[in-house]
Amino acid sequence: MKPIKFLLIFALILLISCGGGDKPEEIKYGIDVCEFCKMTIVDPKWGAEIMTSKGKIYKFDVVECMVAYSLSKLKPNEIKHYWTINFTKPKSFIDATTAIYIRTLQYPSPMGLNSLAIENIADTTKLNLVKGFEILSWKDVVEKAKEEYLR
Amino acid sequence: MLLRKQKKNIFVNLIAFVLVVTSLYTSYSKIFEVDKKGKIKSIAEAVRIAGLSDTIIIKSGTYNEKDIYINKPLTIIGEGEAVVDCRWQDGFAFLVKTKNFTIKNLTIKNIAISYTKDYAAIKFDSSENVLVENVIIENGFFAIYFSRSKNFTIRNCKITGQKNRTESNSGNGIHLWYCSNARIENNVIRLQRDGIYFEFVTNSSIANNISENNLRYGLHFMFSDSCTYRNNTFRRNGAGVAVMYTNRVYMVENTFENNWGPSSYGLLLKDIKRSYVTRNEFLRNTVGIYMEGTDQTLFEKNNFYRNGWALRITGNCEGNTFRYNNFEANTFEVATNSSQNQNSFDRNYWSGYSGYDLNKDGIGDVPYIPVSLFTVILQSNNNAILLFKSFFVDVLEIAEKIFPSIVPKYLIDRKPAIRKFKW
Repeated sequence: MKPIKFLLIFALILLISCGGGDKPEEIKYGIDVCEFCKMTIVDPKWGAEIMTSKGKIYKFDVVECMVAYSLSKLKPNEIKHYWTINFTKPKSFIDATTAIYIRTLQYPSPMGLNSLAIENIADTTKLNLVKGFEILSWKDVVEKAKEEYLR
Repeated sequence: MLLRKQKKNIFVNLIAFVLVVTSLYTSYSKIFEVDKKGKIKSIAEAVRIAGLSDTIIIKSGTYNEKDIYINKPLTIIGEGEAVVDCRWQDGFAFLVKTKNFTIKNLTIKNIAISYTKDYAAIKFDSSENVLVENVIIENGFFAIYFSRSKNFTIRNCKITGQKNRTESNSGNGIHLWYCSNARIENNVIRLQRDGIYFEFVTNSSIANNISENNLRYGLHFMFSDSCTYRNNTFRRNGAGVAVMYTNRVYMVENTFENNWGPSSYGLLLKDIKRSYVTRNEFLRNTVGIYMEGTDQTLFEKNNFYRNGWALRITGNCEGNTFRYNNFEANTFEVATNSSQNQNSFDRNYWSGYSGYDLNKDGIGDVPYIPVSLFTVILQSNNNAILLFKSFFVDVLEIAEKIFPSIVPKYLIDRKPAIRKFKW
């Protein structure tokens, strides 16, 4: 009986560790290097990550680097997930393709696109935005990054 | 005769007029003294009552103040040991938004850390004609921060961040964002995140500074066209110096030394065009210069001494010229990830060169390929470093020298110098 129980528990652990979906890997701020611009990633309000269909992780200091890298080095069907850091919750990830981006000079980003990511529009209350900002979708961010960061 | 007298009179009158005007002017520019035991006890109060272009003198003592807001032309001078202590309270020491402002001889310390606000000892916004001189900043978060400003000088300042910080809870020493015509001279910057940070800055110069022991970069330079940095020393910084996305940068007579680490470079160049890298010293760095997407840049009369890799060049660099450089005692001289080469190497001194010079013109008669077989192997497999200096690798190197087949044969110095250049 005992070995069966043990085996069952073991199998359960295996099952749990397999399932649960893909999770982004934590960015080690101050150690990890941006795949695209080669800068050390330091600011926990910013950051982005790609998971390829094979499960390989690429880390970036900011969303514009992720877009520029994915357009220049990867094929669209190779990429499984795009994540970005939620500006209002440092170090926590949200889905980059559904995030809301606010472009404002009030919060300069590490590479100058100045588009911070938030999960829902209610988070803007935490930002004390003054005039001169625009709200962008993932599509807009891709277009803008394509224009400015790829030669 | 009369005419001459009249002329003399006019002259005398003119002198008198000038004297009167200057005396009026000086009497209008008042001096306010801030003293712990005096009439005005706080800097904020002195700033409030001072008029345009007045001078505030801060007497010795520690002033626990923060968020001193300045929106008019003023001169602030510290006397003796004048210290502004923010005691880690949220906020800035000085916030400045004006033209014609001078701040001198002052110590500012203990600035609060924040994840969302870039607190600084002195923050300038939309300012012009500013001088910051002899200011000591200790335990700052950001130290001196300029945004959207022009025509200013920062000199003889000593900026020290706090020990035991990590990169994510420390700020930059001198931080410039959307500025022009800045001069940064004779400063010493330590223990910040980036010592000097330039983003969207034009026509500015950085000279005679020392930037050391910073957590990330000694100098971080992005989107900043037409700037010069000369005679600076960048040493023991976490990742060295990064210069990115910029045209026309003049990098002259700087020293890059002791920048060691897996992602550390003496000088990291990315997307640089039409620039000059001249008479610099690259001493004991993991990589002397790492370059990616760098075009039409001249590298001349530099010394590369005892680096892990003197140069790492990626395949997308074109039209660069390397001439009259000294490559001495580097573990690897040049590494590249491409079999093509669009850059020219001409008349450099390579300590790895073992050719001869029969006609004694100082130039080796045999061309030199500075990429060794082993660097090519390392490029594709980092772990091969275990075999470095082994007998097996030596045999391969000799075989490659006799029958070149793997190393990129286009990356070649056809006129290697026999003797080291003295610059």
